[in-house]
Amino acid sequence: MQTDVRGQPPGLRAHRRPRTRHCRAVAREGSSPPMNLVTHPFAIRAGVAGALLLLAAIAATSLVRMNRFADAAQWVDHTHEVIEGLDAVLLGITEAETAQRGFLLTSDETYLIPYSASRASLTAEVDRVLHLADPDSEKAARIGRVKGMIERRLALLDQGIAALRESREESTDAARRITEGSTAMGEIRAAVGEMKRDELALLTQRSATLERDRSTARLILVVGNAIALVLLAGSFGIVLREVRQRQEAELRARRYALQVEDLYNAAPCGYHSIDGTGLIVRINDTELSWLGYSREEVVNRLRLTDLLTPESRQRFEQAFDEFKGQGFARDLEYELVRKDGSLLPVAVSATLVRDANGNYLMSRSSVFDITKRKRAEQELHRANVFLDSVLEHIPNMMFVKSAEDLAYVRFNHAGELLLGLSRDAVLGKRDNELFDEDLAARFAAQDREVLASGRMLVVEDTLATPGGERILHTRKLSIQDQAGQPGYLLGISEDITEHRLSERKISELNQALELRARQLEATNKELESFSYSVSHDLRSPLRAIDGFSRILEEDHAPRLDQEGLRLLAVIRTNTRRMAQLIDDLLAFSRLGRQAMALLDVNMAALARESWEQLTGEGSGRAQLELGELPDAPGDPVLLRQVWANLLSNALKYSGKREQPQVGVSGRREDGEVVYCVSDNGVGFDMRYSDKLFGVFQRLHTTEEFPGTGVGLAIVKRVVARHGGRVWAESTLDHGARFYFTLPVR
Amino acid sequence: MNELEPVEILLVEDSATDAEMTIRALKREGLANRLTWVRDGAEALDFVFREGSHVDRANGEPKPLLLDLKMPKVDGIEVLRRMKADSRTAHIPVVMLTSSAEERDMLRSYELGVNSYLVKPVEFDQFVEQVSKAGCYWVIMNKLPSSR
Repeated sequence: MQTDVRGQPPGLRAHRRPRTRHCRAVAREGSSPPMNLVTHPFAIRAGVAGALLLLAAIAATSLVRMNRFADAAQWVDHTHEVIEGLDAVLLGITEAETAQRGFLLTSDETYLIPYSASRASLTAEVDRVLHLADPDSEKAARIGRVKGMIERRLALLDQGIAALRESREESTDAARRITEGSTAMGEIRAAVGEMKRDELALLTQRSATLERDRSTARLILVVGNAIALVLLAGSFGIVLREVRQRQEAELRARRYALQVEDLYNAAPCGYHSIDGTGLIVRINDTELSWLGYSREEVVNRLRLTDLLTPESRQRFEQAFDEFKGQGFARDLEYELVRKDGSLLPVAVSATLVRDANGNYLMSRSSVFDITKRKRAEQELHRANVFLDSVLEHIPNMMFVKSAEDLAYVRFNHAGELLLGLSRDAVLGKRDNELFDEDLAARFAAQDREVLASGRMLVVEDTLATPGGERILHTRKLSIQDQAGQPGYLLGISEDITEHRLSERKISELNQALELRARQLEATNKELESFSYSVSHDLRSPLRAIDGFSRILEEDHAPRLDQEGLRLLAVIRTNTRRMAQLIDDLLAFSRLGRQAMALLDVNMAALARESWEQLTGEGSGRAQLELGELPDAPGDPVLLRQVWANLLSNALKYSGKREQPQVGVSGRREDGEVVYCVSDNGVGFDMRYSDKLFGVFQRLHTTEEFPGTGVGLAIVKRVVARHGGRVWAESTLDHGARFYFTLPVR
Repeated sequence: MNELEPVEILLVEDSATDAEMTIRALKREGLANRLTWVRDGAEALDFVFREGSHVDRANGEPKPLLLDLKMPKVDGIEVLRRMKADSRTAHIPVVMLTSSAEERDMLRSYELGVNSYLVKPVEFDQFVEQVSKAGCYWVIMNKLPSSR
């Protein structure tokens, strides 16, 4: 079941729960049988009432009938009595007569005994019958007449008796008396008979009526009872069913109540109610567990204000008054203090419950734990602050325009500095209010393009700023909202004026460099053809000089003396030397122009090969000590030359020793490999070490050691082209050590 | 230098001194008898193709052609090219005999199908040795198909 903000399930009103409505509500809700007329409470009442009425009616009728029956029976009895009485009377009179007659006949006094007895009883009897009749009735009158008759008769009888006793009577008197007596007797008999007949008729009538009454009564009784029974049974059944339904409804109601209570207590939010003084009158388990209190500690003992922080308390007091006035409160934020003293941020919404007179009764408040929300808000705030600070500190100008009207909504500090416009002057404005017409139009066009295409646009614009004309490199892109529609336009501008200048300078420098390079290339080409010429053109005459001096020597030796031959020898020596010089020079020159390969060179192998090439020609005395040589990247052809030159030098300058020793070693050091060629030769004077690697520079004469002085220059050049260094150390007469390095990456 | 005798060596050399030394070396080996010397590439071609002034030269082809590179009019490369391009003369061994040790010249020559490339040493002794050896090799040792 949904709980609304007020915290209580709908359909329940506080304090008023009319059972019928409730039951009906439950009946509607539950799975009870559909309502029909038979279970209608009115029907039950009607049924029961009907039954009761019927029973009452029956009882009444029965009673009445009973009475009537009793009456009738009584009458019948009465009638029987009357008849018996009349019979008794007749009998009595007859007995009296008989007794009298007997006496008369016998003159026995013994007959007078029954006569007296009969006479007495007769009178009594008549009186009795008389009493039986209603004094005012005709019957009484008749009985009175009969009584009279009887008395007359008795009188007659008495007369008779007296007469006899006195023996005075005349037969005619006696006859008259007898006749009178017989007539009287006849009259009495007739009267009594008539009365008896009437009484019998009456009896029959009354019996019939009695019988009728009895059967009617019986019928009524039976039928009425039957109906009553049926009605009662029916009502009973209905009542039973009603009871059962009620029970079920009650059960459902109880369960429902439990559910509701559970809903209330175990809700994911807190519920509480406070009365007019702020006292907590009700609180659910959830809120209690949040606060760490038990129900006994809180309900009717604590005020809500007791659980608020002082700051919240203030706001609450004000809000509470408003709440009492307008009847609701929405999303008020407070801080509750838990039992352990920690704080709980909450949002409270409430509605009002009024009593029957419309006065404030209590609140229905729902309490939400907004710790997460608060934290999220704080995070958001922090993030926003961070973003803002980032935006402000970015050294490039950043701006945001809204997509609708292209007015500035964001403009950072860097932008203020660059354009010399304050934020306030820019925000809310559009480009045409800030820049001149043409520029504004350009910007507008750019903006439109960005928003339409959805792609980033990179533009460059020149604008006038307080700092002079500046070139701005701007990137504009559209920021879309969640529906994919452009919401904002983001721009980042960089002042590239300096950059442009640098670029221009660089390009100028590059052009100059290119020019120089071209010039150098031209020079190189010239040098190349020069070398080519040298190699070809200089050699030929040299060959001729050497050749013809030889021919002269061979063909005209006899005509030459010792001196002449010596001179020729000098000529030849010098031509040879010149040839060597030319070769060396050419080699040296070529080195600078050759393309350099960069491979992993096995230096050990290269050194060994060079050595073998050099010593293969018979410098067998020299000993080589070849250490571990790390590989290095370089041009193997050029590096071979390096080894050749260094090793041949080492051999040359240690050649005069008894035991020439040449050592080759290498080690890795700090991003380069250092190689060393050492010998135990004559060494050189360190004072002139810087001349060693110059072209044609020698520290010894050709007579001491042959050579043109190009070898080391070549070594230096090759190593320099590889990016390495060369140097040498020596002690005079104690050998020399030549080092070169090659960089390794 | 008798044009009536079949030639064994055709020396194409513009330097008289170089030519003299070459011939002297070959003479020592006895290979200079049937040697013809021309002074430039044009004349060399005329000789090979029997044109111009050498229209009437004797039959038989040189066993090598000793060719210098740098010559006026038509240089060695051109001669080489024309000779190797023509099926009549392509089989004739061409030996470059030049002072140039330039990689470029060597490459070009081999590309054009030179049979051998010799660099003239400056020292005379070495020069002589080289020429003699080359001469012996190409004239005596090397075999050629019989001339048509």
